[in-house]
Amino acid sequence: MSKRLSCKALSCLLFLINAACSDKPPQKMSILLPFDLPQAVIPQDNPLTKEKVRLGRYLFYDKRLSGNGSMSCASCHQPALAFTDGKRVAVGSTGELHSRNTPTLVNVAYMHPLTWSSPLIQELEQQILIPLFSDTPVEMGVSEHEHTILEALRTQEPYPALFEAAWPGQEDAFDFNNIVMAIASFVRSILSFNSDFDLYAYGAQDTALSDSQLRGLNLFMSEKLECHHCHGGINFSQSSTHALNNASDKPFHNTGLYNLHNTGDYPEVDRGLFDVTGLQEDMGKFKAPSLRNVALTAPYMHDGSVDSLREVLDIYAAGGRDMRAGVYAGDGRLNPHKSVFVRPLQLSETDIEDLLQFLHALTDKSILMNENLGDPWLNN
Amino acid sequence: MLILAFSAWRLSLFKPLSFLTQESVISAETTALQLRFDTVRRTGTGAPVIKDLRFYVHDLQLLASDGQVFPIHLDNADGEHGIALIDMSRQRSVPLPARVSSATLSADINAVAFKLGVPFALNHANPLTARTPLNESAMYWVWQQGYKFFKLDSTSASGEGVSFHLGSAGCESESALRPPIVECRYPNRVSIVLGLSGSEGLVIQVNPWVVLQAMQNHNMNLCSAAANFTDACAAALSLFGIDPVSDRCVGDCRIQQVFTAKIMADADE
Repeated sequence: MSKRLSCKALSCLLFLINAACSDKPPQKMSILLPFDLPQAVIPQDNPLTKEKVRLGRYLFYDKRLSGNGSMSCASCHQPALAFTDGKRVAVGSTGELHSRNTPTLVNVAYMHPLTWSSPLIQELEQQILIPLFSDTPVEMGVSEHEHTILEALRTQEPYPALFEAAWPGQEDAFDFNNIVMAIASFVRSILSFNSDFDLYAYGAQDTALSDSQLRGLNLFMSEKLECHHCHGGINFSQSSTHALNNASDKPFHNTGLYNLHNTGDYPEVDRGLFDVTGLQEDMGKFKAPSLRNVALTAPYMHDGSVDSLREVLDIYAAGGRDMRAGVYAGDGRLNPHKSVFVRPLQLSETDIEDLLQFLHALTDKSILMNENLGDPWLNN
Repeated sequence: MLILAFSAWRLSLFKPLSFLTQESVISAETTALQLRFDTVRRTGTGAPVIKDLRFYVHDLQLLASDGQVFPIHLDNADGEHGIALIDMSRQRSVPLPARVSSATLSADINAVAFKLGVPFALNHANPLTARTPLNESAMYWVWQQGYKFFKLDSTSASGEGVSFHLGSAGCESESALRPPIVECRYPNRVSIVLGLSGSEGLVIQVNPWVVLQAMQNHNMNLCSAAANFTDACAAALSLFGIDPVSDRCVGDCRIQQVFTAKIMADADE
């Protein structure tokens, strides 16, 4: 069966290939992607194996992995919402509010760097430490509870067999380094290339997109709108890299959401790249997120301060956000740190409707109910 | 002239050489140093409650008036860098078993010096596979890909959480897939030099209250970044002797207000 035929014939486009049998050590797993799409780069010190992906899936959905047993990774990264939570900002296990909107995990294997604004966090093995251990704010709140959590996992079926399969012969595989590697492996298997856009762009199916969606696509890619400069590539994000290309040097941009005191400042609670580098020029710079499944991941922006895609388009059409009232009042359109690509656009109502239709064509419904990605505890 | 008193080195396998009379001398080369960290006492109502006070120190030294430098070897510290995590969350006084060269016995010791923080070479490795004391998850500072050098969490009189976390910030990687190999823009690794006077064992006192007061003055509950990021952070970091503009020690690092050195008889014990 040819690759193309198999992709057409099956709703799930991804095949996990692994030669390992139960009595053999884990072997590197390769993922067969549809349309000959390029592979994500997997860190050499955590090769993808079927065993780690399987273990990671159980851990991802396990509330035992939080300090007070109330929260799992999936609490914020829910499959039905393309692994987001529908909230403006995330809520931690102790009720603390995060300053940031939960990003999608779909195709996150391709994303470097990770998080909304850190150039330092390049790999999931680094990033996963934030939800697990961070205390500003507390997310899963694992710090100081490591021992209790490891003891709980040790006696919980099916973990003993899953850890042993992932790291056969390791004297004590129950440690947080292994836990992080397993979760990273599972999260890398959350892959989606089955939207109508994919069928049109990579599957060469001319009928996959409607006329309106095609017009929206052309607008999106046009030099008039410039969307693709930041939201380009196979994941519609400048931060997406793969085996055949290199990472963008500085994929962070100020999009003119705020302009406190007319100095270009963003709210102190989150000033993006500036909070990492301390350089004034980095004020309000955040990563351009992937737009895959973007119709499912409302609300939008790093702080979830924009409710709908229509409002996002209106802000970009205006060349930034002019907030007339409130503690964060200020004309973001005049932010001195704003990206040159964010400038007023002449968009008709039809243009906006076409763009919205196009963005909806980026939804891959098969990812939402994929039997390899859902909660494994429900079947136990 | 200042003379430090040294306690007996109980764990030593070596017997004192007969021609040395000091009971504390454990070999011709090494002598036990009685050293501890204390939190400054705070009295009165309405004081904040300290929930967590932990910090890393390394490169401890005794300095003599003639310029001699005597490294302090910590018994329970990590490897060549001699890093210790001082945990004052549950106790006001933390003894730190240590040894110094016996030559300090005849030297005019007039200062103790140490570095607050984790050395750059160890600050950006995987904390999950690090050795004690760098495997303390509460001290990871993942956002900056390093450690919190000084972690102070408290609850104010009005019940609000107030946190001050010091660490290296503004770090950049040489390549996208490597940890930083050049020092961060704001290292925030503070060199502390404390003058000494007195005649008993050495006590280094830490004063978290001035830090909390500085943050309260700026009505700020969280400082978790570098000096110039917010006014409250700048004020709090200046207490460590860090200049918000140059991001370096002011003067000879003696103007900081968080640490003082005392000799045991003088300390408020």
